[in-house]
Amino acid sequence: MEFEEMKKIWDNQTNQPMYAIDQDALQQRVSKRKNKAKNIASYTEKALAGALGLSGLAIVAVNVFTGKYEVTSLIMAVLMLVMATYVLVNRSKRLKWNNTFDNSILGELEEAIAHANYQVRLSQSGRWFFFIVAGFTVLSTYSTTADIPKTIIVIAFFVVVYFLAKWEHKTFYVSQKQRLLDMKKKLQELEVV
Amino acid sequence: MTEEQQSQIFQEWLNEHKGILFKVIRSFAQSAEDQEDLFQEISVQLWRSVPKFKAESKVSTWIYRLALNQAIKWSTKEQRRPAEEHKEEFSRLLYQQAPADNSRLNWLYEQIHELEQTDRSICLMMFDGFSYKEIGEVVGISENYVGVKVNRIKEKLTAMSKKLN
Repeated sequence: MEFEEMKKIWDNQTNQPMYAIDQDALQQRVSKRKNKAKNIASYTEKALAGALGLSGLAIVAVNVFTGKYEVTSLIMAVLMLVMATYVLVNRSKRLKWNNTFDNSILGELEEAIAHANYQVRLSQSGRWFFFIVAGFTVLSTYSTTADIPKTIIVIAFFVVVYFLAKWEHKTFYVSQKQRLLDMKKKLQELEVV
Repeated sequence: MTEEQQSQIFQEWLNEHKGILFKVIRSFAQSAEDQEDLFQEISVQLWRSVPKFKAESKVSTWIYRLALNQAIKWSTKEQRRPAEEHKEEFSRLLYQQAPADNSRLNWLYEQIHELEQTDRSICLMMFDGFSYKEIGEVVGISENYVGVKVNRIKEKLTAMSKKLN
């Protein structure tokens, strides 16, 4: 075969559609991502509401049983219970809009993005709440013990937890949302959805 | 540049020049999974490159340069990846449409894939009718040296086709 002939073969391909999108595989992949986003959101809600509710109740119980009512710890307990309620209210709202998306690829993708977005917001609110809990805990530790080294250890603990939470937020939640947005953009660019 | 403008330009580029992407992808990645992986990487980089395009070269040259650079980077990265990672379950999204008779085209792609990375890039651009100057700018070698390489590639491909016959 001469080079000119190769060139002709090469040029001919330009006029043919080279690739197509496998719609079924795409739907499966989007569903998989949607379920993953949904499960992560559900697990986080349960863990957060459970941990906050139990901790809040435990603090109240300690105050009641010891008969020593400490204002800072009680405020913290109330805040924890408020936050647990906030998480549960949001969960119930989320479960309501859960099935409002259609079954098309775009619908499933929109739902996955909505879950991922919700997860990012939940994680962000959790961070603000974290500052309040940390502040009250440090205050409570210092006011009850007046022990500076102990207070410093508590502060150090919260600093470490803060950075771990920040890492988790970026690595899992924000990146998951970004991946889904990228996927949507790509599919729109390819005019698949 | 607003995101909307960037999207619009990207869309136009993709519609007009997706053939370049597919040719580069097919020459550098063989399995469907790899082709899709590379397609994603090139698309993302192309999207990011839109605001950087200063119209100092043709859009097709710009896209070729970016796609080839990305494909070379991807190939290097792929070689370093442990084999287990390749086994990851991956449902195919893009699949190649088989025209009535593509055996000769397949053969041609196989030969291009066998070439060393720079020659592969030169070969793709040569088939798509780019000038030696444009190829040299993209690949980073002189115009004269492109000429030498093009002749060698042509000879090599012709010799291979004779073997096939």
